[in-house]
Amino acid sequence: MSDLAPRLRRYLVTDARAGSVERLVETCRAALDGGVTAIQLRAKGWTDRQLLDAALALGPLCRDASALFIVNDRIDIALAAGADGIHLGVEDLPVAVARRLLGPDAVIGYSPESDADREAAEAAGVDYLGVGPVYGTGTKLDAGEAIGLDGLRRAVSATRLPVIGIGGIAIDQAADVVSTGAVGVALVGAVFLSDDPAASARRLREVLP
Amino acid sequence: MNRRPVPHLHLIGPLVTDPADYIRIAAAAVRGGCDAVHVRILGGATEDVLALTRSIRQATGGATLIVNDRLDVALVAGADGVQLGERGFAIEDARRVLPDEMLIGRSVHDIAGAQAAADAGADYLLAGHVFDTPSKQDTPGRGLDWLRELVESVSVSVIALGGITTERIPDVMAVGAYGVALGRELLFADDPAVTAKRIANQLARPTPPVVLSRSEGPLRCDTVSV
Repeated sequence: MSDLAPRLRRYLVTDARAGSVERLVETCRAALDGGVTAIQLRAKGWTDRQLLDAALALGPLCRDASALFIVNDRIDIALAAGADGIHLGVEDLPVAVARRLLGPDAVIGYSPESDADREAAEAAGVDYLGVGPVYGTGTKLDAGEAIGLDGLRRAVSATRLPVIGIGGIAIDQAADVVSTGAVGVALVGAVFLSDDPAASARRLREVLP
Repeated sequence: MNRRPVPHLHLIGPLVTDPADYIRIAAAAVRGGCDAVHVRILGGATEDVLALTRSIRQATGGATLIVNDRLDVALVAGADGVQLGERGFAIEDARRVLPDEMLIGRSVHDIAGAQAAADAGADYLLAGHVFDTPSKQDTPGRGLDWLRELVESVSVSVIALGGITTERIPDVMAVGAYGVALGRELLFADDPAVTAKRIANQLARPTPPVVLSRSEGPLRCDTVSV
């Protein structure tokens, strides 16, 4: 999977505060126009039907934009929508199970919470890691203490997998984040909750071409 | 296609009970004749739903195991089917994801919804709530006449849900229900096995024709699949 790293460069994570499937999809469409390279569908508290409707709409949008389409946690939604992959955390299904259900070509991301956890995920065959929170975050209240750029740099040097930084990253900080060796940044608030997602995504592309 | 027959007596939980209690109650209910156990955790972490589903599978042996909404958990835990709510997967989408042998039940609350679900290929419908129930205090039970009309409007099996007690089973079956789904009546029973047995005995089960064959060896009694 040698071509994965560039697709992880400008990685958008959606947010339930979009309020509706339509608004979430429209925001993603704008962000894709602005140059995001990956979208992760995440909307805690939404119904399965809302998630599935969003996933079925985002799949073709991402394909048309040659962007990676990842679903958070829900392998069933990923399967039904033909997503490129899944992003898992410690409370989700085990990585090996996800691999079995999704097949060898699926992109599986993982958010480790410890070194042991990361090593287990590596052994189980994940394709990339999401590491953070790099900065303090307002969008994920249970995310724990910020690890900072030093923490991210340590995580990057500890693994052979591509790493994206996540958590409280503003567009102006994206260059600092990739200076640690991370292949990209995952943004939630900075693009998704901005007034003009397309403009924010374009600015991200200028900072992180 | 190798789908299991639709079960008649469904236990729906865990409702308000502790997961460990639910496992114990489900095992007892199955001993008494309950033939389907549902795992329904709304908004639970995937690992919690999966852990409970696996425990139920172990504790209830060959009973039909049905997972509410979470197709991913159903697939991983080797469940026999899924129960889809009105805010869950569409039946067509679920069929694309699930192996052909898995049962798909759909929860319905009105006749138009029942017909749509039947047309979309649901294996059975969970229709309710039929009687008043503490689980749905805002809405009164829709009643037996409603259930009869719903049963007559579709050609798939209808499982009645909502406020059903042992005493009400004959009325429910008399209007054409294929089976019943219960929460409280089993969850809060003094002995769920005894209650399940009492209920199972009241459900009119279609009995397959019995064939006596003497072709070779001793007399055997086979059932014919219909």
